[in-house]
Amino acid sequence: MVNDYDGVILSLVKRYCPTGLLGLALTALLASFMSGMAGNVTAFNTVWTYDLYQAYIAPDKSDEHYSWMGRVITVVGIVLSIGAAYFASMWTNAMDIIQLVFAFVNAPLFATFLLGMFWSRATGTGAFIGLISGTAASALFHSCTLSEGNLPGVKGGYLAKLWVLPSDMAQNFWLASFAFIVCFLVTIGVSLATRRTKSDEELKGLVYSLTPRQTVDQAWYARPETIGIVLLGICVILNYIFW
Amino acid sequence: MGLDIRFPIGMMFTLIGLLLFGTGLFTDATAALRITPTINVNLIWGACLFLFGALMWGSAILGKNK
Repeated sequence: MVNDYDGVILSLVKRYCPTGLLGLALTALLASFMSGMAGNVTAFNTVWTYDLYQAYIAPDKSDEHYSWMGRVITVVGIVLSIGAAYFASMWTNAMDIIQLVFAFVNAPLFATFLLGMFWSRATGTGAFIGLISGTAASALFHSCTLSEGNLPGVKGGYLAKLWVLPSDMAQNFWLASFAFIVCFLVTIGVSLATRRTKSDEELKGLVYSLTPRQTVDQAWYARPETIGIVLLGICVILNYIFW
Repeated sequence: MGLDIRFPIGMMFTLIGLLLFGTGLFTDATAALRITPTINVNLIWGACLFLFGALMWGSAILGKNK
């Protein structure tokens, strides 16, 4: 029997909520779905219309044309998300598929962002090649590993079965680590091999080491560093209690 | 400067709290529960939401008068 982890919230609501509270719980669920969907659809059509379509595919067109493009791509995005929902139903819970997508996309991106923000020697070519190779490394790792109980295919292991991991989530996290390390090393390597295109003056404010320190008069307990350390301490304590 | 967000929060929570409290008073909310059929959750939770809404609304009014 396969556990359906996606049904947890619904069965909790059914079990603990009488008629009044049930309405409130369902309203809250619907509201959060709608607001999440609205935010993501807006971001999707904005990024497509401004950063891809207007910048590279069809520049210098009229405002009505871009407005029409935004509407079209909204419909396309929603149809794609319906398809993605059917695709995601192949996993036992939503967290597994989300972490898989993040491991493919976010893990190399994180390495690129870290290097871009803290290392002034990083170059554009290095970042681009690093990102591509990080994503390619994720695909390679995914094609060579599998988790227990899964058949080779969309869950991985279609090229070779070099490593069988105990669960889907274990595969996701190893995938993310591998992609991060590959992207990090390749970005550093290619950046050192190519010439710098931006001088220190142009990078001021963008890279941490080149930004002048800000001195703010704040009481010691209101400063971000203090609050950050307190929050980190609470996080460690909670992890210890609930481990 | 615009709308103080505590106003709509306060109004919404007091209204929902009142509705839940009324539901808890006038219906038998404990029969359907299988875990603890003695606690009237609608009553308790309605009162909590109403209190939270009243606090928000009150602090918004105080902030406006300042």
